[in-house]
Amino acid sequence: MPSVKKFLLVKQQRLTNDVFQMDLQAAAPLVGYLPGRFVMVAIPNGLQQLRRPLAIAAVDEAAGKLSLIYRVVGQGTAQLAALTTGEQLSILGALGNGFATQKLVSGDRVLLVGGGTGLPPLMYLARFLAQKGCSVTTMVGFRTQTQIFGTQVFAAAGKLQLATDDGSAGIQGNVGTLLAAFNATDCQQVFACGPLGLLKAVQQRFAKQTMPVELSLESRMGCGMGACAGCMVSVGGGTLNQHICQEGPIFSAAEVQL
Amino acid sequence: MSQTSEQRLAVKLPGLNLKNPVMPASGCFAFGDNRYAEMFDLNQLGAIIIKAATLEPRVGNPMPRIAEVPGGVLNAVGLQNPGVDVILKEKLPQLKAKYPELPVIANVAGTQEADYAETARRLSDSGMVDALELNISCPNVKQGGMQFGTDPVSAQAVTAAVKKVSRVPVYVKLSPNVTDIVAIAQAAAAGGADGLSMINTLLGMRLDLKTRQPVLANGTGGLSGPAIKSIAVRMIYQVSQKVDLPIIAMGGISNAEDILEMFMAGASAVAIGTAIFHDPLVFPKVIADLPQKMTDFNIESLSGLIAEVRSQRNEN
Repeated sequence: MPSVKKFLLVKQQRLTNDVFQMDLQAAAPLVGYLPGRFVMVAIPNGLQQLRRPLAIAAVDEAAGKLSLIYRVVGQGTAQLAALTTGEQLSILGALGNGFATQKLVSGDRVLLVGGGTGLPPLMYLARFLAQKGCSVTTMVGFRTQTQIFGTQVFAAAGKLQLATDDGSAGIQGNVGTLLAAFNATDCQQVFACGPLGLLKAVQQRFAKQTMPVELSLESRMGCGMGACAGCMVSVGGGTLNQHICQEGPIFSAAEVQL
Repeated sequence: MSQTSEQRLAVKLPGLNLKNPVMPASGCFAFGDNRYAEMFDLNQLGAIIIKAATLEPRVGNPMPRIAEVPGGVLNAVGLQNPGVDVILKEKLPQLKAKYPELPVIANVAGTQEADYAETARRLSDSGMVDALELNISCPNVKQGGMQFGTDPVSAQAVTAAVKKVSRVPVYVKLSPNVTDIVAIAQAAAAGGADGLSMINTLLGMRLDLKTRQPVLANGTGGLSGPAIKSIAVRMIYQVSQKVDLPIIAMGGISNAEDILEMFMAGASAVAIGTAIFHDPLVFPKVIADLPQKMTDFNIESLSGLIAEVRSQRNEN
């Protein structure tokens, strides 16, 4: 069941020019904060009415610790980045369906594909699957070296394949380049989160494969609770028939229309 | 104070005997089938206004449908709904099964008089709704909606057409996107409306500086939230001076003080929309806060306040 909790901001870290990480502490243990789920964070200034949907980047449920990584894209996220240690945040969570990891067992090979602000949920997923004993390969794309964050998590969880548009780190190219070279044999499941182009590339690359391919969609949201119809997506042949916030944000690549 | 807390909050409107005056506004709470219902018991609500029903299913507008401004939200959902038949077959029975005592107001939208009337007839014949809210004020659809709410002749005609077939009281939801809202309110009254609900959203727009294009796929959207509250107060005040119908007030309400302000403007009940996005527990909170706030401002009961405000209006 979703709940609103007060979290104490323990640490605010700048990861790149416009990407920040907040480490937060709740007063009690957290329940249901699974990989791929998200929270709605209230902007504590009284002007922004809408909470911001942010993916769970890391969590220690028993200890009540939560980490959120976000890019400053507008006034709301700029307000979040200006918050300092000791301030309190109202957070609604955990929401959405999360990645389907139930069928994976130790030794299974999985592929994670991410870019931009799509990386935070994959950071949590990589740790989670590595702990399960899965063999985790992660493909990550950035525009340039100075935008890189999170790669140490993926490297620690398994194999990291890095691409930059300008070749300043990893191979020159993008995740499309990495996907083309990927050997999909023996890969049990694919997970992707990132810009629309990246999700489409993943959807196309594995269109003829039989393993489950899960795409995490990003969207502006009003409520995050399946009430306002502000984040609809077409799934399974329907037209704008599912809420990204409620039935998603994770959808099967075989069913979702991007 | 001689009255019990329950008596203090109770209000009576045509077709609606409410234990408190607070309800979710149409479109912000789906059909009660959302995750807010996991966080608090909907039986605490005075009533629920369900999402707009149209004769045929509607997919609504493309994404993005939501944008933000300081103190408010722009939306252009475009009346997405599964159509009146699915609402009658699935949504309303589910709502009634879970909350048999909760009064239900069904919001009715359309593109022409005939489909407004047919949708209203089916809903009111079902026995599952206590009142209708006639939506002649949606700013996010190309046909119907607001065009009925900005012209007195059309407003009166569609109200009369729906009144002719409805077995339950009809509240006409007014658009603030007019020069003289009193004229539209009077037209609704002349059409036989049992009450008014006001205000719907104000037509607004935002542009993206990078793309130089509108943020919303629909171009324009409806502005809601605290930014529009003073406009709602002004319009309710004006209408209640000239029209004797009870008013369900909405437009930027987010706390108990806002509710009392709406009653002082001329409201007999209130609906809350945008505020729930910020505070998922705003409904139980404002209902719990009301008695103390009423005491703070020397209000013994809401029904007494309604009578007092209306008697002052009549003297004018």
